[in-house]
Amino acid sequence: MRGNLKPAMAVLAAALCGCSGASTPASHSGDSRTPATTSTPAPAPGAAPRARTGAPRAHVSEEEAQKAHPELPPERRALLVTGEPGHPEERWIDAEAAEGAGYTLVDLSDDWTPFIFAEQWTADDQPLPNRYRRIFLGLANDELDEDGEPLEPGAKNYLELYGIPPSLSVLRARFVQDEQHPCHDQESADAIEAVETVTYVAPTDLKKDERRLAKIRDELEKARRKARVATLEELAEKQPALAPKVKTLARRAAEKPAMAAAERRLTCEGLLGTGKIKHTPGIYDDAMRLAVRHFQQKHMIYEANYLRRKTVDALARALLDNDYDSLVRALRERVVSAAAILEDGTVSKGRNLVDEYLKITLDQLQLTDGAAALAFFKRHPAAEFKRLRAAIKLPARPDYYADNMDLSIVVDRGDVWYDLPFDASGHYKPQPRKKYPSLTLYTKAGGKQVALARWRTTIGGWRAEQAGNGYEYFRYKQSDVGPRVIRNVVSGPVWIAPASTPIRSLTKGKTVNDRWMRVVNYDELGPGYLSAYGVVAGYFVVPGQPGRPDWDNGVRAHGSSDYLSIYSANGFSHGCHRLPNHIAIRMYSFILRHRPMTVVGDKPMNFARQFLFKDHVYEIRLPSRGYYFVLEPPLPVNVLEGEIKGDAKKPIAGYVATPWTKYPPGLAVPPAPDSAEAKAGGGGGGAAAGGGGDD
Amino acid sequence: MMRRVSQQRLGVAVSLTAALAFVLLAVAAVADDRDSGGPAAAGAGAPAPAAAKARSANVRIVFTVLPSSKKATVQWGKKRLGVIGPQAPLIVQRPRDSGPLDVVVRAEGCLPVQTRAYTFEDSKVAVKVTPIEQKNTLHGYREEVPAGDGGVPASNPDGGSFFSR
Repeated sequence: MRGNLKPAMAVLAAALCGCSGASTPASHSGDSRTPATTSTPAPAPGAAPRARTGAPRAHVSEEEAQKAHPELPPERRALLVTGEPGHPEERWIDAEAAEGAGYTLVDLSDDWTPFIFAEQWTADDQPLPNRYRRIFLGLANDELDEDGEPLEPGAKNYLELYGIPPSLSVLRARFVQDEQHPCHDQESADAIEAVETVTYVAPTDLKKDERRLAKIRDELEKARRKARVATLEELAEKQPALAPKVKTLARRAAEKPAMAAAERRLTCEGLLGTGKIKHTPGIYDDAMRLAVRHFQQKHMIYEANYLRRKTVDALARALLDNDYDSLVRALRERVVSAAAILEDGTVSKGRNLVDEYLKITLDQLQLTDGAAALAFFKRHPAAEFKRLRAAIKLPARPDYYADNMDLSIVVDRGDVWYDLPFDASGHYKPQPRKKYPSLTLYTKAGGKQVALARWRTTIGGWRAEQAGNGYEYFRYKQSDVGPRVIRNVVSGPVWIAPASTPIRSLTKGKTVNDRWMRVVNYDELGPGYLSAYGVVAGYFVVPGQPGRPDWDNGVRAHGSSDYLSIYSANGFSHGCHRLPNHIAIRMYSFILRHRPMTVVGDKPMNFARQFLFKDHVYEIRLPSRGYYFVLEPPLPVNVLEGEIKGDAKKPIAGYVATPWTKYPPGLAVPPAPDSAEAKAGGGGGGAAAGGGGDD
Repeated sequence: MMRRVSQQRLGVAVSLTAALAFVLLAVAAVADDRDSGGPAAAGAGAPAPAAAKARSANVRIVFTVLPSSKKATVQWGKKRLGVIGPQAPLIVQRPRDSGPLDVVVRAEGCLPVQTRAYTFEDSKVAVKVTPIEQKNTLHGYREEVPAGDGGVPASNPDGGSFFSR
């Protein structure tokens, strides 16, 4: 029995005192306990369900708040770090009192989730569980895989690139282990630092590449002798025309030891040589590619799966330095959540509250480098992270902060091409863009629109679709233009693959109960971090009028695992606006916490559909659409047309046969489905708001 | 959100009597007690209506086949889970929240069906099986390109222009 009256007294006292300040970054570490409203019935103003925690706090003096209370259980205490830099003095203080004194509680617990996966309750105090919360926590704690099945012993989830940062316990283990096995020697670091990248040569092209280099070497050697100089460097100076070739040889020569050092590092980190795929030293084969991919995922490096600049830089760094960066990233999300902020410096001349608050948190916790972080983790055993909150004094948020902010989204489509991206022979036609699409979240302050954050996003483009005759065609997937609203925000959304989805993308290989087999590709459908909708989506709809429901064209702004598409010059969606998962999580958590909303909870669906692939029938079964939050009033969205490039000034309607597909003779191109949802995203679940839709 | 609701509560608290304050105290104390169960364990994966009840450790999955006159086997990876008899469902118990079961249902003369059962709650999985000769009725069926034919770009219905708009 832990139910005591102290918190309740505080709640009551606070309610009577009425201390609340919109611009104070009130503690949101208890978000997993923030009150939920419910749609059935919608609560009338003043009839909201009671708060669990997070209610207005009674004012407490600084001195009182800082008193040590080592006797308090983990759920009622917070860690306060004081002392001179380099000499941290830690003590447990009363968490409620800390909040009363203006501290923000930053949740370092292993069961922390962002707001969109936090626990919620109905007005009558019934839990509204989110099915994906268990999986999110299991993934963050290296306990479960993407299906929610136990992870194999020793296996790791490196999912930061997919919006799931590791828990503090996972990071603690990483720090402690890496101190024992540094995987870092100066010779390897020097070899890696000597190059900017390592040239990728496909295993099938190795001999060809060697012949090419040998030819250059011969050519330069002959030239050197003829020029009567001692070295190739002197030759390059004497004959500048040959300098690029000399540089190529030197670069490629330096890449060999760099590649070997990268192999050693990846092997030591347990990323290479542990799987079933065999690696041949010196060759960038599938095993190496996989290891590099895991390394990039571990260190949240947005780069293609090659030894490019950022990856090479991270390989040259000491493990503890990389671990420290991981800790900083993990803390960033927790600080953002605790302070309920969003401004990340992506708007020119805008503040970067995220980094400001993060820096303050790191300073106050004295987590200033890898060594300090290691010492912190050594002071705190893993069990302590089951429930651990830190009390941080943060500066006030800008005045425009309030519980109900006048928020809105503007999507600028940037440069838009409607022309086909290939000619009649199937040759690619470049469609360069100078201005890429962006998504900006605004708030109104003092009658002016203030941009809080702006991120690169995607718009639709030419995509393959499967027609009713079973063959694939191209179709332009339009991103809607004009005023829209977001009424529904769905965490752990499910993408209902429309009938036009190419069948080949709907299955995947998987080991099921010790047997490899082909199954429905639920990774793509969700809920999950690989879902076409990522881990959270906001549904753009044309708002309904009296007597008419909202109209859904299948366009969403959502998280995406296809993070490279967002930053690629050639990256397009099926009409939706993609964001990296961690950004989508931040944005929607922020919106839900600064706008009136109702938590509907899990929305059952019981969807089933069969399809044929290579004489096997596959049945998609989706029990739920995801976890619904309803914004009321809905969030205004405006999608700007952008600048139309090329000859076509309107989207080409219908299917276009592709030159590279073999169709039966005489097979006519079928008409493309003309429903609203099929034009853009395509909706498997119908056109009404909340229906399915394609990415 | 948190403060919005809290402010609403402020109005209530100020206007009501000590009796209401007593109720508030009692309710808050109960809430605090429930929180001690641990957030992850408290709600993960439970269906809302049943959440207040004690949940069984296992879930019950009922497999049936359509048409129900068919006999079918249900295979989960290496393991054969059992047989769905004519008019007789196959009932499988699995630990709750142990991850989904990707199974293959096979009936004689029919195409095998790969489907999925979930373990977060009791469920029924009714699997429609299709006779092999009726595979052209399934979504995804396509007429094959004749052997030896290299295939040609399709003609558009409006006259065959590749760039039809």
